[in-house]
Amino acid sequence: MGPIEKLMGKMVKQCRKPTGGFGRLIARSMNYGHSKVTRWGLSQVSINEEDMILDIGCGGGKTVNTLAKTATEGKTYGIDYSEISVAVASKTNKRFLDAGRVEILLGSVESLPFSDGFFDLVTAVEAYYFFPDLINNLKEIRRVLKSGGTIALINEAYRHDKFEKRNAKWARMGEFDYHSPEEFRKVLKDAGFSSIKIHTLEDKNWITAIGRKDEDSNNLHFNTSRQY
Amino acid sequence: MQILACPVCKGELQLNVDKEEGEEIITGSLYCPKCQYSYPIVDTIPNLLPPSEQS
Repeated sequence: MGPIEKLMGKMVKQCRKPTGGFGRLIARSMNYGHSKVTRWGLSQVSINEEDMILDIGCGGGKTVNTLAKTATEGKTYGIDYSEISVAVASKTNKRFLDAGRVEILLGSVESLPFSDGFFDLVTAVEAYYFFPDLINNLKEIRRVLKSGGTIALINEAYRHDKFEKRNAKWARMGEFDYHSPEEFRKVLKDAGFSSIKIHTLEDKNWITAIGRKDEDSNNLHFNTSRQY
Repeated sequence: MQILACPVCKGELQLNVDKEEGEEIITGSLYCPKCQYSYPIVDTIPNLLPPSEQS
């Protein structure tokens, strides 16, 4: 591995869990790097003023900031398992934190520190790749959603022939996994979500995978997926 | 406070304040009576990582 690739590898790994001075830089730069895909992804989701929202893997906190600006009568929570990320996210959202409209905390998607059925919307931008146990972690997200609540996984890469060489390299360096639209549909279904919708921007390799927590989970088996 | 729950048992947490400025809790803890575990609040940020992931 050459020096450039080593540095790239270090950077991609830092995106998983920013640490130290380099981590702070990464956490800040993620705010800018991911803002376009975030805007596109969130445009696929309907957000109400009074929504209670959770952003998982909030990184530098830009998405939390965007969500709080939309859900003006609700509250937006951001969690991350990196101390550096939550510190940067707190700074990014200082104004909203002071106004009680945003909460930032250290937490893990593996065991979310929230009671059942609390959120209208859970978002994860460029984060699901790093979920340690994807299906169970999605089930845990489903637990904290209200009936009728929505999950939105927004990502800058999905499995597609056109981008396979680049994506495989990123995944190898960052030690993460990524999925095709069909696989997204399957994992969301396996985690108990219904009304699954997959939106892609093929030329950019962007994907937003959306699922809903239905009142009656028995419907799940009869809910054939569409729209991809 | 009922929104936040113990990451392990999902039970209610009890807030203890060590230092506050205005309405902001600077340091303190969130205690789970069931798990008998105290989750720290450091620099205003609650650390609700499960005990196995607390550094």
